[in-house]
Amino acid sequence: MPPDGSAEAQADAFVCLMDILDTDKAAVMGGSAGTLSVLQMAIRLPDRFSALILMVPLGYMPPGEAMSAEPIAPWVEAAMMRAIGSDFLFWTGLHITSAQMIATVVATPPAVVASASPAKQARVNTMLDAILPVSARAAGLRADTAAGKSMTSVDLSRVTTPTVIVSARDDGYDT
Amino acid sequence: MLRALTLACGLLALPAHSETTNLTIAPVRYEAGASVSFDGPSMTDLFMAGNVVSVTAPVGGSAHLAGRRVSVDAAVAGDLFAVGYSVAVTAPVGGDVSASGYELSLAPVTGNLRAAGSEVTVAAVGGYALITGADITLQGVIAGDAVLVADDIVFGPEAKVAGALTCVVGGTAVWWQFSTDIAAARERVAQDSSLIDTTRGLIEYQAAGEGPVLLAVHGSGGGFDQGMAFAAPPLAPKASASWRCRASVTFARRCRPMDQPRRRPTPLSA
Repeated sequence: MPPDGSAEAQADAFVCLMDILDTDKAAVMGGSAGTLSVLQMAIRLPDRFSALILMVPLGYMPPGEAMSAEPIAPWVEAAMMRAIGSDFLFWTGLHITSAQMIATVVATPPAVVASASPAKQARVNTMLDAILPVSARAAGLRADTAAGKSMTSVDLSRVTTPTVIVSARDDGYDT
Repeated sequence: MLRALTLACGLLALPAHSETTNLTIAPVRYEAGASVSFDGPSMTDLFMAGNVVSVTAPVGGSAHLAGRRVSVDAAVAGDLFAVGYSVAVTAPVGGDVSASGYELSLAPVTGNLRAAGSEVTVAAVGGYALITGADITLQGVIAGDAVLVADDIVFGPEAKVAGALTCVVGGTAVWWQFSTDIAAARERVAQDSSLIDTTRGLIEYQAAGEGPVLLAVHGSGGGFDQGMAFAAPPLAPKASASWRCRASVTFARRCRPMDQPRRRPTPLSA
């Protein structure tokens, strides 16, 4: 992890990349924790972006707002934090507790996945498998988890780029 | 793998060749030496380390034993912690047992059992049993739950698990499958991406397609591969360009602030 892993610093890096790749303007899409830096890009340099797509966005929730999903139990979160440091533990979890992994990692009710089409089930499984090697992503995962717990409000009125937000009522991360 | 680990445990327990040293701090007894034997009187807790470690008198408290060959031929009232190339317990243990070694042979345990070894033989267990080994032999009743991970598991005539039983047989095959999967995963994430060293730090990304540009930023658990997976379904019909940028970038401090007039930063390397 870089010394400064903030959403603002990440936004700077992405714009730097656009500059180097000679891209003056782009649509930008962010998923989950990736939306924090996407919002910062749109707020700080709106002329660089033609559209925003925020998929199940991690975002600030004002105090008192009702949760749309049950919070993850502390022991489950602790187990997840332990598992993401170990490729073997995570791999074992994928093979022997797939329903629990779908519920806690993909944050989707396992019953919903079970009733989905084979193609969608395969997509979920592919997304889960693709987290390996999780040890290489552990630092980022922990940083994202920490960022999710310390979010502050963002002045969304400063977002002038046309934006589409996609989320789900039963998303376990309560996006 | 299990054999190598347990052999390593045994080797680590090899003692220095020295004369036996006894140190008694009532009511706890410490012993270390090439060959140490506890023959009483009963103490509260016992700590022994040596090449050959043997307990021939009852231990009133817990026993902590490390050696090449460890034998316990008298009852231990409390917990037993034992590590060695071979650990042979022929007398009952009143508390929990935690043991590792190449050869483990354990008499009835009143409490819980946690054991790892190559050849593990277990009598009755009063609580739960968590056992890993190349070969596990159960000879008695496990009153609680049992988790057994081994290449081979043998249930003797009197063997029974009263609680939930979880068996993973073929540990070598499991490890081989894991090694294969993780190697494939590492190879996958090492392909098809570009690393660029910018004034904002190192960024990994992938570019694909033609047309209007979509910058896809992945979320938790991703790399560039997750970003492309997020973007793939909506973009597949149009095959637009997509970049994916890994969050684990390393930032330098030389890039312009975003609120200043835009000027192209110079790549440190293309």
